Amino acid sequence: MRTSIKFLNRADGGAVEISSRLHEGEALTFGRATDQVLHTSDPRVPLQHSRIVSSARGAVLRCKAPAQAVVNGRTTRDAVLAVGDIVQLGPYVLRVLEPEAGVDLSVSVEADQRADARAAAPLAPVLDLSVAGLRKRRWSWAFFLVTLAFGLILPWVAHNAEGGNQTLRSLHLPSDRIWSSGPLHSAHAGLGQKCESCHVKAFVSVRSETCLDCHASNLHQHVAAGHAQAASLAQAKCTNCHVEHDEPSTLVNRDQRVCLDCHADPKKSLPDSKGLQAVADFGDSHPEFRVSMIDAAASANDSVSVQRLALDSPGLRERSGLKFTHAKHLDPKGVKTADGQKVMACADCHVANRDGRGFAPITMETSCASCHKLEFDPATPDRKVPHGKPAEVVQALIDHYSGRYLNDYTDPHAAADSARVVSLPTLGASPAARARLLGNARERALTVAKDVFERRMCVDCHVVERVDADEWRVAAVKLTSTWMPGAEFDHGAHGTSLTPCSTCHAAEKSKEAADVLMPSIKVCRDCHAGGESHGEASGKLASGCTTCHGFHGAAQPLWQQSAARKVLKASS
Amino acid sequence: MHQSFLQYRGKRYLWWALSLCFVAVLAYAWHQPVSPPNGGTWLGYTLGTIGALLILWLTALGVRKRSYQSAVGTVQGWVSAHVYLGLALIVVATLHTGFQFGWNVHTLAYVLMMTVIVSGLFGVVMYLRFPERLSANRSSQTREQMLQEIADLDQRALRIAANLPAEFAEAIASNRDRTRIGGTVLDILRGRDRSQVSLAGDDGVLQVVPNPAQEHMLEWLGRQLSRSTDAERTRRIDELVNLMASRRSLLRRVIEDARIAGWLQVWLYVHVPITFALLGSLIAHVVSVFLYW
Repeated sequence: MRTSIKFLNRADGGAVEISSRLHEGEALTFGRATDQVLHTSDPRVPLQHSRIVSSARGAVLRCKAPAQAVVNGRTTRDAVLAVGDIVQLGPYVLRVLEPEAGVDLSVSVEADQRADARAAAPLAPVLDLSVAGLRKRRWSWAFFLVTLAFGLILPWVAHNAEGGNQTLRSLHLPSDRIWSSGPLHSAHAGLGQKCESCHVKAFVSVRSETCLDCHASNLHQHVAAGHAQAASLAQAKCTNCHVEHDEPSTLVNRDQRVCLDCHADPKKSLPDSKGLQAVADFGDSHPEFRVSMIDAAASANDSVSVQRLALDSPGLRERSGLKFTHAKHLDPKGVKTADGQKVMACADCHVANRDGRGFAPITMETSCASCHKLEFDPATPDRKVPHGKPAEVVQALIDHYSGRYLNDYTDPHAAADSARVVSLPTLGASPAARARLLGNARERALTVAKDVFERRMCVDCHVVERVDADEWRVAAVKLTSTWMPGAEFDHGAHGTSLTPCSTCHAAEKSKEAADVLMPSIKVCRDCHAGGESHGEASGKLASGCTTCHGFHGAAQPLWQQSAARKVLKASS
Repeated sequence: MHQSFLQYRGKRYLWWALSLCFVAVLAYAWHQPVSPPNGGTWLGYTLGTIGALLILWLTALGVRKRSYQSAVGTVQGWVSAHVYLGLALIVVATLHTGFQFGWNVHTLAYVLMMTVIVSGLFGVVMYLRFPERLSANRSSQTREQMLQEIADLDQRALRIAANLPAEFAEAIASNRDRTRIGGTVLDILRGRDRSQVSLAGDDGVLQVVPNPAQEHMLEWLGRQLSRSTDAERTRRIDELVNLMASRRSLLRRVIEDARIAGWLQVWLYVHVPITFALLGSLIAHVVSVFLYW
């Protein structure tokens, strides 16, 4: 389409300046974009406002929505243009002229002179969030200062003032309590919310001395005072194993790795400690149990010496000085007693302690005497020799028979020997007669003593040796009663109907008193696997170090009432 | 060629973020601390340090985007990394907690951080959805130009109304003066048009009626048009109808423009102030942990 465009420029005085241009192209375009034929910089006009194209009906104006034009006073978007039409295009007035020769369309373009064609004051509604009342910067600073003040500064200032945080709590303001990363264990509930009970000094981690304020100052140490590692263990902190504020709450850290730090390779980590064996896990790398057995050879009569021996040591025997055998007592057919044949059970002799964990030591009086009676004369079944030193037994027999001979006594051998005939009453007897009677009584007592010591009573259980006509020696009894003093084992928890004593102790087959019936580690491993990570897979009980071993020792109280009261009083 | 910040350099920072998450999760699964997992194990301290440095760097976007002369990467690259590494922070910080939460300043910092991240994610969704709609709605006009055009329409309408009975001019003028769009934050975000117009009833009494989307104005003009018997008068009213219809569509576009722009911004009013709340609580968290060691 060939278009002739006449630009009219009216000067103030009314003179009109005309500049002509011939445009050849598909369309006559109008808009704010720079590639438009009719170009304006008026901001109200879109980049592409409208275009005039040639059609069968003549020149046609097409506005690009939402732009509109005013054709002959009418607002429209599309119009067929005829000669004489006046089109308002934004700030321009376009008139359609009679086409000149050789062009399809002839127009004049001039600026709209009307007052209202100039920009009216636009609407100014509030459409911006920042104008509508949202202020990022102000809120940012406010939030920053609030969280910092209440989260840190206020409790910190209060921490440095006496009772400051208690005041904050009473005012329901955030106190140092909001620093607590988790609950305390119920054992420490008595501390209440007094953070300063443990957190004494700012920026210093909880110190062991603070723990010991309440916990016994004589807390059992891991090793004895003179031990090579005593000094290094004194440096260990309570918090190495006892960490609070975690969930789930674990007052005691039972992870075996804490123990293995030192015990995995004692040669390297504890070079001064002799006899310590490497251990990595109960399940597969724990040495055979060692029993603490009385060393009969090294023990004097009034003191005991204990030796620690592994259960798999060759020739391990208990030299207790007794001749007892378990097999004989546990004969399934029973044993002969005064009340007839009786099948015995372990508990007949082994009496549980009150806490059920262990057993009372075996003694003659509690475990043996009910069957092994110390009667020596069928004529006086209620008289017994004492279970004591041999000399006491001999003396008791002499005393007994002397009394009998001096009193009304019928000597069973009297019929054969007339000299033995006693005539009553003896109180009036001559000194010679009394001496003869006492001599007879002593002779009788020694006969009975020989019988008791060497044939039918003491010798049943003890090693007896005759040193003189009226003197015997009984080997000292060194019976071990606590075989594993360092281990925590609860018989009450283990002995059930499914696990009788014989599960672990092979007593029925033990034919010698010297047999050591403590179970090997293999027996434990039937049910117990190693540390926590190994247990579940094997279907066994996961058992770490602390299942059997205590760091502090079981017998020591961790809590001293008097010390606790003192501390709680001071902090309340 | 325009490229979304999510696609920046072949999603380079997405891979960075995924690698960070992967390493963190792997380390957490492998790590078997002697105590329950918490922020105080060596891995806890490591993840905490990474998390805190990430938070500081993510906050620095606000500084970088204002530093027009900075040559430290492009702003688009920064935004891309900001989004992806910000999302990775969820994994890093959650593993740092060891899944231990409580009513304390530590969990407060975590909750604030999650609030910031979720609001940022909301912003990402907005930026994926709205900019195209914004420019389609504007069709190369600015909001100021549209408002100017509305004012021009009103001016032209008044000029036409000058040749009609007085109630027309009154109606057009009141329509202009009682135009109420935007206003409060909620009105902007909901795109409400609370405009009114004062129109003469059949009895000649002026009545102020709501005029959302020029409804009543157009209806009133239509009624006047149907009663008109004079050709010239009809032509003028018809022209007014045209102008008011244009006014309606322009107003709608302005409202929509403000609504979209509002949604593109509103999340920042959570994102930025809560970031500063997070910074405050983060300082409290870090210092208090060592204060009561």
